[in-house]
Amino acid sequence: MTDTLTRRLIKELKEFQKDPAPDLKDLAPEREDDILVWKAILEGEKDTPYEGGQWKLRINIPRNYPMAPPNIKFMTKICHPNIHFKSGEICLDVLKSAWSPAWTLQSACLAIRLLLSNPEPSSPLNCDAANLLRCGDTMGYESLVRMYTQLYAINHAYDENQSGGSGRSVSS
Amino acid sequence: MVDDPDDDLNFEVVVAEKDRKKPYEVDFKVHSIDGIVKNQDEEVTHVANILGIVKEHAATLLRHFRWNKERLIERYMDDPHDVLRKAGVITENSRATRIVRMPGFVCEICCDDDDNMLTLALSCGHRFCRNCYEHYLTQKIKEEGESRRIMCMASKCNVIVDEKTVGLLVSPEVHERYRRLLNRTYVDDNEYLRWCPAPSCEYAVECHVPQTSLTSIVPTVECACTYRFCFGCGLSDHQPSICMLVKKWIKKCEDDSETANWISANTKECGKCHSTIEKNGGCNHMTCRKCKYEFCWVCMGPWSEHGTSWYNCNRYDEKSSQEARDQQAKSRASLDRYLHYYNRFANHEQSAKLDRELYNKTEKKMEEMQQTSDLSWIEVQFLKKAVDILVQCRMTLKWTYAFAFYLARNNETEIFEDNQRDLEMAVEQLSELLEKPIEAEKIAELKQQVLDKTVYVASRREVLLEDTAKGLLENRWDFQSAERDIYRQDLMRQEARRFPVGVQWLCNENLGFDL
Repeated sequence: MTDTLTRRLIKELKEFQKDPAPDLKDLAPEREDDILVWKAILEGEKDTPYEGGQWKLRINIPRNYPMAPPNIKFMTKICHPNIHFKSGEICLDVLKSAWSPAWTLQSACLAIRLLLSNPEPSSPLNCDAANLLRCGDTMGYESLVRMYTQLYAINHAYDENQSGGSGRSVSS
Repeated sequence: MVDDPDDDLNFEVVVAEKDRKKPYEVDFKVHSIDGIVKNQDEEVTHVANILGIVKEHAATLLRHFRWNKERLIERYMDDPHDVLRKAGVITENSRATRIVRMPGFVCEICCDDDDNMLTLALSCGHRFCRNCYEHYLTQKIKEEGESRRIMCMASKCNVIVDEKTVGLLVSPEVHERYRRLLNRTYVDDNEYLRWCPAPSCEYAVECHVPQTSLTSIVPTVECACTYRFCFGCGLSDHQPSICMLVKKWIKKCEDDSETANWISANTKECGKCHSTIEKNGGCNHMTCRKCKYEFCWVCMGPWSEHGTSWYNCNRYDEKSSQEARDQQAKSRASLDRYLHYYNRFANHEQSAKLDRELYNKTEKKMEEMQQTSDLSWIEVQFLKKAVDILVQCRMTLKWTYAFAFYLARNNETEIFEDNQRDLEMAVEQLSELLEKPIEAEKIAELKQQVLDKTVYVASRREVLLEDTAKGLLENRWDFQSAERDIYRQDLMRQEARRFPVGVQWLCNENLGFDL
């Protein structure tokens, strides 16, 4: 099984390097000696409040991948109804029950990017953001998102400590 | 010797009398695992014949429609393509799925491209290698407990992996589990089937009482393993209370009984504002923290009238003190009322548990009887029978207290309570008889007494259940205003338009804790 898993992951890596999706800046194992932990860098879509931001994702791959879905988390803070503000946990059906082994890490990341512009406020992990959307305050919601994008996701090095939510980065 | 009173009667009449359904009984049927498998098979074959499709597809369709055959056939006749698409069945390419070698094929999932690799594709044509499919199915079946909704591995393809294909791919052990899961969903999905909740019992019970009539019927069934339970909610036998009251009662007991007991034992209420007060030290001169009313803890009368006899209350019988206590008694009535019913309910529950120990004792007694007298094994069975009836009656009695708690005070309720009291008395007498030690010379007498009492107790139970069940059907019981309203809302929701809307009520259950 490990052999199959390694082979599959190497192929996924090659495929990404050959033909990277335009909004995915990086997708690779975090360290050379562990192929089961990957990182990805997601860029905010143009004409959305996430524009200009860059978010780091950490991907933990279970041993029975691709039969079971990968575990993906936001390491950079993000304000979104379906993403936990503190833990970075993502609520998305394809990462849970709707996962199919034919999905890849790349397609999963793209599904997350799609989630950014298509929030689902009825099953929220971030109630404050979801409530704004639910009561129709799009302007308020977008400015909140823009503020957090500005605060955490623009012009920051992707250093490990950032996700701890230290006050340091507020100075921008 | 005891003469069987039925000896002279026409046997058939007696059987007919016994077989007649009582108003509190429902029709039901117990199925074994084999029976369930056979039933599924029959229904699948039936549908396959009607719709002219292969059995695997018919099974998938039936599972998609939760075994509602009529709805499936109706919808299929309307729009077969839509039904097939939604259920994940493709009939056009209906060759059975085969495992084949396909040189030059690369599996999209494991990226293997061995020329000898075995591959297969479902009717949707998405091809993957055999190993990946096996891993996938094993994961779904063993880890996720999925059976009827395992889909093609390709993303967004909803074609269901049928039973035959699963059989081709997985190990015998996993296949066994798959079959079990399918049987489980068959019973779970079917409105008229329910697994027997007894531990490690594998029977399922079929009963055609719809959920909507649970406000007027208590569908009690008995599994082949002798466990008696309610088909409506799956809890153990709770006749004569209807499911909705049982649920409410259990919740209430969990929430309130400990607290209420403690409050009743350890606190008193302020004579003026009725705040609940615990005295945790100090003298008897109490000042309510809330309303500043000053009173005496001993007699509950106002402190101002105590004059100089401080710290030594001798005013217990004075009028004002008595009044204060009376008022307190009134406001505590609802709490006491609940405790009255709860204590009796709990008492019977406890006794029923102890009676299970009685089984062991009875068995010993039965042996003893066989040794000390000339009674045979079959002639001492009356003891075991008596214990059976006793336990059953205790269960019934227990639930009559939950039922009575929610009843409003009126004549009907009084009749109910008379029946309850008769049963209770009879049960206690029988219980006493069974606890009696055996005296060799008095065995015949004891046997006669026990037999008589057993018959009497059983008939009292029957009378009570019959009357309660009839009352439910006739809508004769009047529930406490709060409960009645919930009961009505329930009825209205389920059988819309049976009752006028807009019943106003006041909650009379406010315990008013303010600790």
